[in-house]
Amino acid sequence: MLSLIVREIRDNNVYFGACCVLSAIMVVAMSLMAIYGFMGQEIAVVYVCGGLLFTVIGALGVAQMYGDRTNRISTLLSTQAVTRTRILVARILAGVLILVVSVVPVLIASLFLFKSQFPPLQFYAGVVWDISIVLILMGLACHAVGLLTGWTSSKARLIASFPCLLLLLASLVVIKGFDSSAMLLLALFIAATWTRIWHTFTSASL
Amino acid sequence: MHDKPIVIEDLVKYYDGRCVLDGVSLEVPRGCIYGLLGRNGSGKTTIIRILLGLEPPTRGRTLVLGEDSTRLSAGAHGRVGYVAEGHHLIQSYKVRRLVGLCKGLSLRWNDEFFAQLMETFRLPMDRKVKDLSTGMRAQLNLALAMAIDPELVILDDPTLGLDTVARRQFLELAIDVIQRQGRTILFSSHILADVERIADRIGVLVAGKLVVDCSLDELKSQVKRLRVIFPERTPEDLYLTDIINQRAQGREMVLTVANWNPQKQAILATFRPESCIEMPMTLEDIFIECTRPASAAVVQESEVSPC
Repeated sequence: MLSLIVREIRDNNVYFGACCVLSAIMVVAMSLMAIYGFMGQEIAVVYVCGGLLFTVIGALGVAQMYGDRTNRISTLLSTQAVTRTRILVARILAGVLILVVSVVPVLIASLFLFKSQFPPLQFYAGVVWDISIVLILMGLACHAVGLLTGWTSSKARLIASFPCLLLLLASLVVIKGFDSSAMLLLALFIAATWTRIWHTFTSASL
Repeated sequence: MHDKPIVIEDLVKYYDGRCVLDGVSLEVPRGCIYGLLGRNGSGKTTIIRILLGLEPPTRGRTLVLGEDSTRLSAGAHGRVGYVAEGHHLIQSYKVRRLVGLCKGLSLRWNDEFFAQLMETFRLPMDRKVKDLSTGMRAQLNLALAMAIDPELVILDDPTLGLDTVARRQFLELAIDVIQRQGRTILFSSHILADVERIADRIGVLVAGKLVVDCSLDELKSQVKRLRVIFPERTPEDLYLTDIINQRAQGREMVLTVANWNPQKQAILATFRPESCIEMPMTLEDIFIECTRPASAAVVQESEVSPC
């Protein structure tokens, strides 16, 4: 399993690098806000980088599956001592890892920002948790969408479906906010998407 | 260890409504080198892909090392060495990286043997796979397949695209490597000379049907081509079974018959032919007779020739 995860990271290191850079920019912007107070520019930077971060996480999923489909990587891998389920789990774990290295530092920075800028009584205690959970679920959902739409040999279909599903996810968070119903919907969406990918990937001709 | 590392039962495969495999059944006993023959598009690669779980069957069942191909465990995969037609290696990787990946994913890895093979093949570790020649890719694929010390080796037209010299070199090394440890081998090819050198059992696929499944010696001894001259014109029906092919012209008839035996000889004698001469046949002749389109109908009637 470790070899599979390492392969996923090495083959897609550009996406990991991009996520780390975006995450670093957001942390710096938030640190500036924590030190000097809220300014329009920094907020804009955080929003733009946040949007880009989730797009890159989704693009990682696309690269993992589309690259596999076009280069027939799984044809080689599945003749080694691994199963297709393990190949897929390694891809999902690579997605989880990219979330850990990029979204978690941003969440920690935002926690410090809240603590420094707002008196504790203005927010209910679980607000940071709620935001963190929704953002992590959002990241996982973006990656799952990438995996699902990336398993195609048609570029046109990929270009049409991937941005649409990302916009759908973004609108869900915008409409529902960071409450428990958004968490539930995202969790259900992730579960359904993973199930669909597993079924497609394990029954496909390689 | 399994007595029958490969078992195929009534395998049927359809692609877009087209029947590619039509009720193929065969068993490969342990230690056997099985040569699967057939023309391009006869279904050889499809059988192998189904065996390895790369392709789902439409109907039927295939067992590899005792496990159903559609649910092969990682353990079973790890005991099968596979050299693919076209050599599906990750083109963008350097040889060293690909070797590292395969080693990392393997259950067993014979470092000493692999190093010995790489030295014999003189494969550069620091070149990208896509920069290797077809022959080098074939050798790398064989080295990777053999380094895991497999119980079963599946070679799907491994010499496809190689020139005559490279093909011979590859086969000589493959024979040496494979026969050293008495492994079970399924070897698919449409180059008969290759199969004749390696195989001890033969299967011939014609349009998705297995028309021959027997040992190489039996095949050669039991498939006969006869030149028969009758006193008058040739009879309409000889009342012989297992006729693979027949051509008549005037009083002369050339017929190829499977499962030749004294009973068939006696039936033929009732037509009181003036002469009946047996014509020698090579494996290539037998293969051509079996795969000739005109013989397909005759072959289907007799199903698999149980030599």
